Amino acid sequence: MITASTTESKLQLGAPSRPGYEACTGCRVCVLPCPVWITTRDNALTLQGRAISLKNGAALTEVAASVDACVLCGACEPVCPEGIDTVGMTLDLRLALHQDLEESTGRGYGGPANPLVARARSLIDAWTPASNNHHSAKPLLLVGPGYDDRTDLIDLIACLLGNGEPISVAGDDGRDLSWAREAGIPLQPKRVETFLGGLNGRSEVVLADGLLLRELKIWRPKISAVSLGEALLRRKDVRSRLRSTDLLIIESRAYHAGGRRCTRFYTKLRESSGCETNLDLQRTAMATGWTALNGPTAKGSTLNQNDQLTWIMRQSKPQRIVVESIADLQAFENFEEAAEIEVLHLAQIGETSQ
Amino acid sequence: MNIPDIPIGTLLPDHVDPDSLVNLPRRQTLASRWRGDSWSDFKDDLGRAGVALSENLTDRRRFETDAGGVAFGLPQALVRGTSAETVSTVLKAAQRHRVPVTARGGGLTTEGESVAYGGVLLDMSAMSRVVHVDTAQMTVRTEAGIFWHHLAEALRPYGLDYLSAPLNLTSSVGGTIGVGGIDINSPKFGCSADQVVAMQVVTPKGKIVECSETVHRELFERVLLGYGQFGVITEATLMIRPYTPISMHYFYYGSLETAIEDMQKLVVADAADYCAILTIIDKAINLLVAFDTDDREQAFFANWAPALKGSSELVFGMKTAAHYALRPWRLKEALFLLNRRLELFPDFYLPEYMKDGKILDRSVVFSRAVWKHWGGKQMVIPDLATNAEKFTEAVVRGNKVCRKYFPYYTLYCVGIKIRNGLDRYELSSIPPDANDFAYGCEFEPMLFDKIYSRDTLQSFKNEIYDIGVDMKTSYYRFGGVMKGYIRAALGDAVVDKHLALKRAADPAMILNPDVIF
Repeated sequence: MITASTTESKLQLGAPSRPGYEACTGCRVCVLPCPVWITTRDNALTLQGRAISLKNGAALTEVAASVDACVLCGACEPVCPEGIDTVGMTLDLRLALHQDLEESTGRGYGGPANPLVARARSLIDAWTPASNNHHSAKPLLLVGPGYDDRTDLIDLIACLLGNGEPISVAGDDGRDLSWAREAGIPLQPKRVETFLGGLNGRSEVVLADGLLLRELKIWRPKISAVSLGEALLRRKDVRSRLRSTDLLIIESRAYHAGGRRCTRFYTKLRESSGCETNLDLQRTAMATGWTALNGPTAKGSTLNQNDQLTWIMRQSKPQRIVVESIADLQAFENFEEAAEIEVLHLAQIGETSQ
Repeated sequence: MNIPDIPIGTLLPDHVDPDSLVNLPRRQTLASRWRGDSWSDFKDDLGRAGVALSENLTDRRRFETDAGGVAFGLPQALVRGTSAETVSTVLKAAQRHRVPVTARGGGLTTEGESVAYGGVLLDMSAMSRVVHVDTAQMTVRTEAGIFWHHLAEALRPYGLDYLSAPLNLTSSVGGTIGVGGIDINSPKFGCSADQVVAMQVVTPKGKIVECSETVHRELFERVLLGYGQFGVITEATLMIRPYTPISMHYFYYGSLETAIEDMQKLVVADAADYCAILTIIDKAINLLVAFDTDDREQAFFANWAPALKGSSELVFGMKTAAHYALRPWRLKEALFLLNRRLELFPDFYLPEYMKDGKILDRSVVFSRAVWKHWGGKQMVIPDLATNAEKFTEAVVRGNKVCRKYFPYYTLYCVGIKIRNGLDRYELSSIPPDANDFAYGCEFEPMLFDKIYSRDTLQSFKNEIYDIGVDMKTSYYRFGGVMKGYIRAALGDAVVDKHLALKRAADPAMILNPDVIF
């Protein structure tokens, strides 16, 4: 199994106790919820395609396009009958590709030609984390990059989660770590430790970034970390404002990182509110494919995001589309077929309760 | 398994060893095997027509085996079927240059039927879009490479469902209706192929034909359950029905004969909407019944349940506990039974799939359980299909073979409604002496992590199929590496008739070679 141990860090960067691609039986159950499959119908670009290729002796570089195409939504993970750490496998493959190419060419994986890496590098270079100077046991909110231009939303979310008294918003929200992990850039152990140090003592950490949530649970298994969507939906005043005519778009990365606990939580929510969701028949959350690195302004995405949104909407005719993620807010605002439908962030439906 | 890339023109050994089937000499019906002749001319033809063809080894190796995992081979190239026109172009050129074409959907064959040994592998899974849902006629038109699961996803927003499909999320519509397809509601709806209203088929000569029971009926009947010999299905119109959650109940038996007797009574009487037998071990047999409506459920419990000889889980559990208490040397078996009960059953009642005591999305629930608890690197599922009278004997004899080879295995028995007299059943698993209902049993060893040699697995299958030969009945998975059984099972007259039809439809014998002929 490919692991991320080469960072020389004592941090657990993957989940090596779970099987990797060598356990793949080729059943294709993971292909069913895969947004890359749904929009490209190209088996080679799916998790199953790359797992079988590697199992059959393909070189890493031969599956590079497949590894790049993944949007890391994690829908393949809960459905895999073999219990393969699917997201971890793809993240580790990106890391291994990066390191392979760095060693052989002196440049990083794909170098400037890889839009994912190039975008991550430019974002990391341009951003300097501030420290989390709020020494408090109160929950801490990590909003991530999508909210930079939406301070109104940040204030609203912080206020909602603090019951009227805003909770702290982290200066260091770990976005560089998330970007690096998504792009396959090796993490600097010291940087990870600094980030984790800023979370010490917090009763709960609320993360808008589903990928970072997943990683955080591996780095600090005992930490009380929850997705922004779930944190908001735990509040009765937010939950009660969901209507049966709403389509709730659950943020897929965080949902799948939450495992069966999240499945049960959202199943109950769907039953109690009567709203539609982007859960499919396997109870995986269909991803929009929009991420910080793979969003509408990024280049090189393999996934046809319009096709994916069309698949998610299908026969649905909601009065409102309510999203948990700022990226999904952008996605649906840019989606012509939903032009007549009001698109709201989950925090906004609870707005009037303040 | 590491398969070398064989240069064009190298003749590989036949993947079915001449002596692999005991007492059944293999008869080669193809005049010769492909040696790579005319490959470059074929490629040029496709290139001129704008059809992309990949000779990339990594691409090809993704298709080197099927779900059975006993047959391995490499196509010379891979073509993604993206439209009927693409398929037509490939088949016309293949016919012209005598290049074999192996069509593949979900790749869930078990005997290498969807494995290519040279030639072109036509991956149909990209043709997977739903064309139209007709809520007035209650039909759906879909591209045939679609997985049943995606079809269910597309129908659910309309509150609709397909009639029946294999308990496997990743079977494709085209692959299934080309061989039959069995569901636990087959006693009511027949095999999956019987829900087909019409099809678009590309014939081996590359002609695109729309066919149904009224238009081009001969082709329609040959392609359904035709093991891919008479055309590539590119679109299908299927009957659909309202989606319903189901209520499910179990009756437990300690005897196979008694369980089968009860199942057959229920099947003939149409007493349940879903009915099947699943064994944990051959002394813990589960007769499953399920219902689409409360009325049907109530009628069953009023009219049929009291007459069944099976027990409730509580009563059966107590009897079983007493049985093993008196036989402490069988502790391992008892623990297996208990463990299986604790692991397996909760997966049929996951909270996210339950509402008001009913199972939602039963196809997902069953399929996930099948993959989780029975799936693996190799699917070994020989089967027997018989008429009503022969069924118990076939299952009991098959059970003895299972016990001889494996410590643990599952038997899955189901009734299959037949529309008597249809040509489509001629070259299929439906035995010719069955009327109204046929009965099928799959014998599925649980391999767990133990490695069995290919010889062991094939010998096991042979012994099961030998029962079929001896009882003059049929099979479901008789193609590919098991094709030596075809003449023994179906008789020379049927095989020769279909061979003549095949030669007329496919003069170069290029479409799905090594499956039947």
